[in-house]
Amino acid sequence: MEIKNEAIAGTLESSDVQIIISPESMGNVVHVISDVEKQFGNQIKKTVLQILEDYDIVNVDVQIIDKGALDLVIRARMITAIERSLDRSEIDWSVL
Amino acid sequence: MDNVEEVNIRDIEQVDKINQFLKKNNLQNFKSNIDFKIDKVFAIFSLNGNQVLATGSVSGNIIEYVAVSNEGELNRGSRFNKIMTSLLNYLASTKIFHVFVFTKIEYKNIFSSIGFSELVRGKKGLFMERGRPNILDYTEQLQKSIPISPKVASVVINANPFTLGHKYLIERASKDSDIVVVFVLSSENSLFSFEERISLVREGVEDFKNVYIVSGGDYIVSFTTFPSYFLKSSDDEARFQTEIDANIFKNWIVPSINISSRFLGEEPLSPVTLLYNKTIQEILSDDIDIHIVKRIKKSERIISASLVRQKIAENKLSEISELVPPSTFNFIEKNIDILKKRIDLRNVASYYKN
Repeated sequence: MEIKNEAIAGTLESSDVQIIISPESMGNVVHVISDVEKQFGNQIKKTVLQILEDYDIVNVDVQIIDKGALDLVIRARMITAIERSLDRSEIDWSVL
Repeated sequence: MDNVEEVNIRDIEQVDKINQFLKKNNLQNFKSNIDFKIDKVFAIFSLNGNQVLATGSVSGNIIEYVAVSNEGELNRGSRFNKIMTSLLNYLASTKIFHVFVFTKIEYKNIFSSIGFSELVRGKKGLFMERGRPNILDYTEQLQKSIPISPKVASVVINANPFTLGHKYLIERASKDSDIVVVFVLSSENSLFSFEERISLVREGVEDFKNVYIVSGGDYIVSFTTFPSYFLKSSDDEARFQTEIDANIFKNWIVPSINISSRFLGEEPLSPVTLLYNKTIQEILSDDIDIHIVKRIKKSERIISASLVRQKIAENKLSEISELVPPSTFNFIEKNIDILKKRIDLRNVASYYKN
């Protein structure tokens, strides 16, 4: 499935993460900006790609601006960003 | 806790407070720009409401007037992040995800940390962007739509509307080069919409087979959209703006499609445009050839788009026909009522804004 529009979720505050998701022409691309990118960059990418896979979403660009968020926060923000980009009124609980 | 509030720009007391805070931080002209250049203002106030602790504004897709104080319990970085979250969420709510910021060079890192990347730098500051389509998307698109040629000329026009003057400029470039790339400014603050302007350019240059027409996107910037807040004089302002514009052209656009020359219309009328031409020449002439083409005249008057707009306002259709190609004339004739209504609306709007 492809997303309908760009969407944003989260904040730039400490312990949170801001996620911007937008359509991309080919494949899924994830960029991470984080003070702890060296330590956790790959883990963050893995989480994000897993959620994209669960939703069966292709062709998106995901920008992650991490301010030290825990994995569950990243998951929550990512799901919100996807739901907003799909413009649906009902959340797909089965994915969660 | 520090909470971000939206500032009512009609509230003179609040605006004054923010203006003073910005002045302390060496950001000028907030108050004089508030009516016509600023869409939204956010701020964090101290608990008693007397003190501004942080602020930032939005103008179109540009974030500006960002300043943060050290006072109180939270550190600067966290206030900055709060203000920026509000600004970016507001922009996202209006479907704007591609955002620009002008800032001083010392703030590069703090903007990089929230996803901005540098486009160009001038002597006075940096120009950064965040979101897509970014400059790489834009230049990739250019490469796809324009064939590789040894001699590529370029022309930048607003074409509001397309006149015989524009046509002459493009014709000169067309004869001199293998191909001509015409960049049409894409901002929507002209009498003619972007769609109208670009389609009139297309129809107007149909005779020339080697002309490619593209949108200037967000990267060929009309210099009326630049903020002036950290510059002292309007001369400084114009110079800084053109410097940024010329450097984006030089660093990103010229190399992407191997542009070899730029054709500019001579500017005998406006001192601002004269300065623009001079700056373009200074910055670009090491890399590409700059040709300044003399403007053509009709009945002793230089043909310009502003003259055409004036004739539309005065309802002098017959005088327009000698200033524009038939395609533009037909469009104006067909839409004269709509155009005049737009002029009236613009006059009313500027009346209420002053």
